[in-house]
Amino acid sequence: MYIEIKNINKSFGKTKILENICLNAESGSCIAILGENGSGKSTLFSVLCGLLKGEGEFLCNGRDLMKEKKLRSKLVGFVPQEPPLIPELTAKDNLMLWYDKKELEKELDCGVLKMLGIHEFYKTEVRKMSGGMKKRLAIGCAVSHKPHILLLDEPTSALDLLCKEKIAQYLADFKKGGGITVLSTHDIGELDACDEIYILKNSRLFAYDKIRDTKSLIGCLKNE
Amino acid sequence: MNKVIRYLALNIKRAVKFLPAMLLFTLISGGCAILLLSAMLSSDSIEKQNLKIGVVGDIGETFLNVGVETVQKFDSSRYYVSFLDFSTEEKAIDELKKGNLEGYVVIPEGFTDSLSTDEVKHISYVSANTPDSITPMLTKELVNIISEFVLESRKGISAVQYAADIYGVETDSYDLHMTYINSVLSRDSASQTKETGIGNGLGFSTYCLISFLIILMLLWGIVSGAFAIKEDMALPRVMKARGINEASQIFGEYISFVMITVINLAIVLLALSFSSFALSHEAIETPMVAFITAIKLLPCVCLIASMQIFIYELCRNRVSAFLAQLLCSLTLCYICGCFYPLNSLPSIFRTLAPFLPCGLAFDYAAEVFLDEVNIFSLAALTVYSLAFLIVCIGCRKHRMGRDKI
Repeated sequence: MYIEIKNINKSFGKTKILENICLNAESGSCIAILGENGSGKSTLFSVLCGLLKGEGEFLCNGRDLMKEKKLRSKLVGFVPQEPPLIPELTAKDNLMLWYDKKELEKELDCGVLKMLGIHEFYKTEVRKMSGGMKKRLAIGCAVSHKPHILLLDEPTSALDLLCKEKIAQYLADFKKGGGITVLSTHDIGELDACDEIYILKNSRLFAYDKIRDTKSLIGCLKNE
Repeated sequence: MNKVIRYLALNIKRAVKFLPAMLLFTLISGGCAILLLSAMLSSDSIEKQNLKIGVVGDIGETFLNVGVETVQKFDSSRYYVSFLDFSTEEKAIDELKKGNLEGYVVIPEGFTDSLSTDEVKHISYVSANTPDSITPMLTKELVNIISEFVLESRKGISAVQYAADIYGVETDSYDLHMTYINSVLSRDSASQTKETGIGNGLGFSTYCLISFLIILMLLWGIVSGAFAIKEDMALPRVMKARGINEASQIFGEYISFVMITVINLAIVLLALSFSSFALSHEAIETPMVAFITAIKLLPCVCLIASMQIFIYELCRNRVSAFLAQLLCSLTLCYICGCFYPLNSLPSIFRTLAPFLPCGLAFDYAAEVFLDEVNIFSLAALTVYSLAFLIVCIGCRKHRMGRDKI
């Protein structure tokens, strides 16, 4: 499986947010998108998910997911910055929106939900959860349909090391299973697990391969 | 479809969590309503509710005094009138400014004597600049009654006196006057009050009951505001990305919102069916009938819930949502006659009310209580509810496309 993102354009009024965004990824790859706050990373994810209308193509094995909504909702899993959860309900209830009962039990016993450590706070109300718990639960909800492409908008922002570790473990597993991960981040540590790095600046996407140290990255963000 | 049902089920579960808060609120507001009703119906407050009209000028004259006294005791119902004597107009103006009087009448000197001559002096009425509502209208009517009453009775007595003089019959004018008053206007038979009901043919207690229910339905929407408000759009967005569109989302939230309101309404009506209210209302005479009435009121609940969901959809945070709901609820309740009977409000309100959601809900509830449900009212409620929901779906689409992710 491979994905091709071709010439994605998005404007709000006369302001161009995304201009000719292109990137490719193959099965089992992880791509990181960096950029300043407000550079358009979240907008890019929204366009790819079909939440915002934009121009361009999002191809998966040659099929345009921008046009094929059903296929997109089947293949793509999306975790936005704010965890999409119902605060008054427990983790279990939130998961029930996306999982069948049997499936949920199975995943909690030995599947992805166990890997994310959700079984530990299964009966806790979302409003009583920490940021890390919410993030893990949001990922657990997003992968209920076993997507092949995972779009994560700052998945580990403001999380402690243990939470980050759990999410990193899951992402490594997802990658091993042939999934394609596209994530936005401000966390240098997270880049280790990524195969390619892109920087979104001035509405355009620039590829920066093999840059790992903070100084050169900051230089790139400033100068490009 | 499966996910929509699951979302609905989760929302119902969520809504049930708001039930205790709503019931507690009902208990408190019910208690307040009972206290208010008791205060309204107690004799002390009736005294306070009397219309007070000042009288400036000479009412020492027998005929005029009798006229004023008669009007004062004209009606023994709660619409009681007190006339207060003032020696000067300045004192009456002072009291009027303090709000202690509805208005005052000035009786010119020699008013009664002028009635028997061609040059009739006129009584003038002075009131505060109040809107065209029941109190000033009633007061003006009363002043007209005094003038007409005194004028006509005096004319009649003068005619009898004139005839008596012609035929050489000796008469005493005071006796004549009293005989006239007793035969023409004996107090018991002077007026016969028939109450046709407060708007829509409702009795006072039914009117109060329906008003209370409509106000409660509106206020429940505020109490359960946290249920309906969408402060961040993360979940709706993800749901849309996963195939649950805006219409399905609104459907799930709306149905659960309606359900929780109907449950509350049923509980209130069931509680009322055990109270003395049940004796005078067929619609809640037994618990079973009360439950059926709650079901019959479903269209009202649907309309009010759709309106509230729409308002919540427009607001971005809890404070603005709370204020918007409160303002809308109070305004609609006032305009549509939930606080005061519609026929005591200015005509513009009477014209507007049948077209406003709250007015439609009130009329339909009245039809349910009178057991005269009109299919057109039902259709109007349905159309209004659907219109709110369609606009609501549009708002959510708009918010998803606009708000920052």
